Amino acid sequence: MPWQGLSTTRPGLDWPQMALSTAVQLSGEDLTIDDVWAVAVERAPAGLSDSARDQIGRARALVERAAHGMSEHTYGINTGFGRFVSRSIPEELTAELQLRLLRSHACGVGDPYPPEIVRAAMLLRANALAKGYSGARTETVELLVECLNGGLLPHVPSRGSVGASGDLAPLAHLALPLVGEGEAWVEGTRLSGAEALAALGLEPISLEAKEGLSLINGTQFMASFGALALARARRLVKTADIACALSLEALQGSRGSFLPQIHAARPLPGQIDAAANILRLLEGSAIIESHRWCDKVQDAYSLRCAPQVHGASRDLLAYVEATVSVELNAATDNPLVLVDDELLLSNGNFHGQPVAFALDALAMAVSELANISERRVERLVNPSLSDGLPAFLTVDGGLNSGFMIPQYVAAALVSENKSLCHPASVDSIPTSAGQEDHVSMGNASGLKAWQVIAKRNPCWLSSSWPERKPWSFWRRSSRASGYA
Amino acid sequence: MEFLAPLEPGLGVRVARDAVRALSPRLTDDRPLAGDIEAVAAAIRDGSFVEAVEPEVGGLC
Repeated sequence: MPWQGLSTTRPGLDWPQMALSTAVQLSGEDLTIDDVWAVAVERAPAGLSDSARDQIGRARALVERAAHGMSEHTYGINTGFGRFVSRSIPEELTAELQLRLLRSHACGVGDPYPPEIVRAAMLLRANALAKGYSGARTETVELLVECLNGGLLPHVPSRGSVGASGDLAPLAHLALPLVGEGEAWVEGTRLSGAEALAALGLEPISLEAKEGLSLINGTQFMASFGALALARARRLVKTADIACALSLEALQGSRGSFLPQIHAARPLPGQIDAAANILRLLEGSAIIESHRWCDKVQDAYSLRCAPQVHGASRDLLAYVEATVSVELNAATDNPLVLVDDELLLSNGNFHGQPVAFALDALAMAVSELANISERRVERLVNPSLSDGLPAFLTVDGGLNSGFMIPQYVAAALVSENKSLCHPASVDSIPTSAGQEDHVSMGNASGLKAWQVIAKRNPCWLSSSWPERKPWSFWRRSSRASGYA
Repeated sequence: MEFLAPLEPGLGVRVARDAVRALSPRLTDDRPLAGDIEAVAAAIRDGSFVEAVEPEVGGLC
């Protein structure tokens, strides 16, 4: 994993020097995947919109009324958490309740999340609070945004979330530096939360009623994996089409199976797009023209069915994008503060199942692109499948092994991907003494999808490489004549 | 490609092949390929591989 092996020092993101003048304005309504990438990876600044400040203030007023002077129980304001919901908490301990919530929930284990995932989670949490359904104070949200903009990176262990009530343990680690506790990285140095805030010239806050809950109840780590993995997957689907076109030329395949009338007869959007891409890349090919009248009737599935397979992945990613795009601007807190109705309502919006499914689907979509690509690599290096190319694409084979072992590498990677595609989202283990008796396991989905995305690039490379090579062996124009 | 002259692949494929070759020289005698793999993987990861191809063939879907 890319974030393993980090100990006392941690390299920051490879942030390009970019103008920080264009802040991403948070309103809880219109954050996009590109915005998340810009802030989390490219370090664009974020800020609260004026409408968000207004919404935050109105929601806070409602929480204050619930916390003071009302006798009825409101979850997380004057009650314990989870199964302790029936325990009343006296008014004078409402603030202490929130601090202890963060402390008790910060028990994650394992390697920290990748820095960009933590930054994305900070952004998404701030955006959720900006929506005005949580009731945190403006100064609390502002401090979170200032930490994000200032480069304070909370140390957040990546294991310990069951994905409902959201990502509790990770978000507790994320939030602790705001109160001067926990740990965080500043410029590659691991500091206590208090030291980290001081390094940025910031003061810790004291949480008030409901604020701890508002900071940790939600799906932000799962959604962060979804947003950033999707941004990467967008590049990968195009690369898959390019790699296929390279292979097709090298293997002297046909362009016929990419013609639009075929795909119009089965008009799945991803299939149509993938076929159009590959056809366009093949335009003007003298190689294809040279074997147009050869006696080979059909190409292997890994070439002929590439639009159907690549397209299925594209369509699956479109579903993932639709779900994640909603999640980026969703209120996933509990209770939700409904300002217009003047209600605080217990609910289940924190449940990560929609995102968990999407993340498992994302891993499958990307993994399948790698699977079919590896089969094309095999065709290129296997002399019994490659229509006359030399074994393992090497001259002086025997003394040279050529591209024998890159296919092993591709096989190893796609095999590992297959095990990573076992869905985490179909599991559930009850927590909190049965009160929370169904959870999503979406954090595991996110961790797995992230590993598949990280591995996918080398898979392609293995395919890109033999794909460029075979032309070297073609000395005659006819496929039937093979190479000399 | 030199061996194939005068045959060339499609324009998009040609550009893609050249983009790979700029990062990974042709293999003649065996050499460790891990660095080549990482170089091309990085170009895929940062988008520069796709960006090298698209101007020549138009934006891909």
